[in-house]
This record gives sequence, structure tokens and C-alpha cells, in this order.
Amino acid sequence: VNDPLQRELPDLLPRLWRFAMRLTRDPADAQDLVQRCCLRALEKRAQWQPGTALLSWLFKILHSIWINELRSLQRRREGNLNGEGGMDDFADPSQSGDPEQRLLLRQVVQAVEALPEAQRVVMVLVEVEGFSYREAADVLDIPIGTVMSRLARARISVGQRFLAEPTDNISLKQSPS
Amino acid sequence: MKIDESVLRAYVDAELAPEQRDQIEAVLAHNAELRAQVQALRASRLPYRAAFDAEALPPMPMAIAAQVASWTALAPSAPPHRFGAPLGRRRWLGLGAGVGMGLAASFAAGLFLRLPQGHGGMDMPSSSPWVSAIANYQALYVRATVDQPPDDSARIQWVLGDFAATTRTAIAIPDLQSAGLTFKRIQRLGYEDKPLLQMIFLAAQGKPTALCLLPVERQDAAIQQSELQGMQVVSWQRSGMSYVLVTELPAHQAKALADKLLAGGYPAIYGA
Repeated sequence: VNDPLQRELPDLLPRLWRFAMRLTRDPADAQDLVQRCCLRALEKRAQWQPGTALLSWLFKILHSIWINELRSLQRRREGNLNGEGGMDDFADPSQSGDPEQRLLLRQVVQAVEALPEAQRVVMVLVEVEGFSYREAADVLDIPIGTVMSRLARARISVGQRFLAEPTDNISLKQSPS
Repeated sequence: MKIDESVLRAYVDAELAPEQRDQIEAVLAHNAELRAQVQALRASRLPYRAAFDAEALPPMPMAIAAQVASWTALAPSAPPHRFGAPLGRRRWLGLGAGVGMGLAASFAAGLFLRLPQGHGGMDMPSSSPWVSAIANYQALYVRATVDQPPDDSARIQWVLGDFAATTRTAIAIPDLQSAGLTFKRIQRLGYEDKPLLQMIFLAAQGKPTALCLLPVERQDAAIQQSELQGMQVVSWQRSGMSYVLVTELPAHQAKALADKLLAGGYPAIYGA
């Protein structure tokens, strides 16, 4: 296959799936989102410039579809559930590994999940997916300064949550600074 | 230097130059509020990636990979380098009035053959992989996909000319206004190295209607109709061309539309 998009898209599907799951927290919505994203990417393929990051371009399409087409449907659906639904919890059920470390990791996810969506998605892109500030700004179609301020506010909120909930029995294994 | 949350975050993450760091530390010495923010930022240096990687996310459904594989087979092909090759005589959609010159000899025998519905002796359009692929592809179209200003005339003529040059069959875009459908867009796609033409129409509301054409090397086949994800899928073959109509119209209206297209009952707005 000569076309880079056709060639690389299948390999990037797991990354798209993971990002879609982290945006939607719902497998059915994530499947819809990834499929719409791929369809849109194939239709807009002429807009992608070979040599630029394909994953960032796909994430941008996926995020745009989430914001503009699917998020409101999910919210309406959840509203109809009268609070009985809620997002799925994807804690690892295997209970393997160090219990303290497992609890810490769980709390980290919960702290990020509790953030306002605009901050949460910046955290996912920068801290989880490893995107640069510039790449995150491109994906979200916002200025890089906005990425950095959302990231800072998100980090302060997460930090305050951890300070407010003493984790005496948890050894905070911080990422290197 | 204005010290805001972003600067403090960069300070905590050691992204600042030494002189900037010194400036901030001088300010922090006299500002308890900023010191509290720094304390929170320090507490927020956490193993985010490891935390999210430890989640047991549901595996990606196999259906996604299968769907994408079928779409990449339908992906738009690269722009052609030629235009205006000799064409067959004026052809109207499904009318059977004109057969592309290169295909005429092969299909002349089957020109007027119409099979009864459900005939099992021939590869019927509705059961062919390309019909399924295009129907699945189309089912994901939403109104917003195509609800935009129509393509300009030059581009439309270019796509029609390209398809005609490749298939040696001149094609027109039917005017479906009398059926309540407005032409919005035409695209040259590809299926298994064959050119595939997709015309999109919009009704006053609801999902887009698509009419797709693919050259085939088979005999004619009568109209077949099925339903997929709430969409009517109507297909037929005529004069070396396979047609698929995918629409949200009620079944009887979809069938009537296909009948009239097959009979050449709509005027052309572009081409041929």
C-alpha cells in the first residue's frame, strides 16, 4: 500500500481506541467515535501533510467529533438515566501487584477523572499520551498558552486533592522532575 | 516576568532557566498564596501514564479493524493525471442507452437481461462485497458530513470527466429535486482498484442519500433491496455498471426512486 494513511491507520487504531475510551469512558461511544474518526480521516486525507504527525492529526479529528457530535448525545443519554448510569470504572480487577501502589494509581486516575473536561483532556494528552504542548495545542485547536494554563490548573487541582486526602500509608512514587 | 500558574508549573517541573528560577524563588519567599500553589503542583507530580496504563480498558472491538479495512479499500484514489479521454456515447444513469466503448463487446449479450428477485443462479448485487462495503460506509454518514455549500461546477465536471476517462463510460448526475433530494457532493473513491463514483444528495431532513457506481464485468441484475442500520440499500446492475442507492427514505420510496433511475426518468444536472 503506497498511501501512508492506509498503511499506518490500522496500526494506530489501538491508540485511537485508548484515546476515545479516555474521552468517552464508554465502549459503545468509543467505538462510534473511532469509526467516525477513521471515516472522516479517509475523506479528508488530502488535508493531511505527509511528514507531519499522523497520530496528532487523527487525534484532532477524533477530539473534534467528540466535542461537536457525540458528547452532547452522551450527556443527553446520561440525563435520561436520571443519574443511574455514570461512567464505567476500569480498575484492573486482577488485583495483582503491590496493593499500595495499585491504590495510588487508582487515586491518580480518579483525580484526573474529576477534573473539568477541558483540563482532563490536556492532562491525558500531555501527561498520559506524552504529547508536547505544541502537539496538544494542535489536537485541541487552541493556543499553546491555553494548553499550559489548563495543564497548570489541572495539576494544582490534582495536587490539592492529594494534599487534602493524606496518603500516609501510600508511598508517593513521583515521576522524576 | 509575570508569575502565573503556568510559570509555577514550569518551575516545579524544572523547565525554567536558572535566572528565572531565582526570580520565582525571590517572589515565593514573600508570597504564601503562590507557595501554596507550588506545594500543590509538587504534590501533583504523579505517575499519570502508569496510572492510566494500569486501567483494564475493554479491548478494541474487532469490528473496528474490520470496518476500517473495508473503508481503506474504498478510500479515494489519488487525483488522476489525465482528463478527457475518448468517451462512449451519451449515457444516462441506468438507462442502458450507452455502453462504454471498451466494455461494449463484453456486455452486449447481457444488456437487457433482467433477473427475477431472489434468483440464485447469479451473483446478485445485494450480496456482493462492494454493496455491503458501500452500505456500511454510508451508514456512518450524518447530515453534518455533507451539509455544506455544494461543490463548484468545475470540480464536479472534473470528477465526472475522470470517472468517464477511466471507465470509458460517460455518467450524468441526476436531478432528484422532484424526489425531494438536493445534490450536494460527488467523490471519486476506489474499490479493489476499480473507480467508484459516489454522489450525495440531501433531503430536507435526515441522513444523506448516496448513489454509488462501480464498473463491473458481469451481466445485468435486477433491483435488489435490503435494510441496513435503518437505511434502505437498493442495488442493481446495468450495462457493465453496478449501482447502489443508500437512503433513509421509506422502503417504497427508495424502490420507486431506484425504478425511475433505472428507467432514466430523471433529467441530468451535470455531465453526460
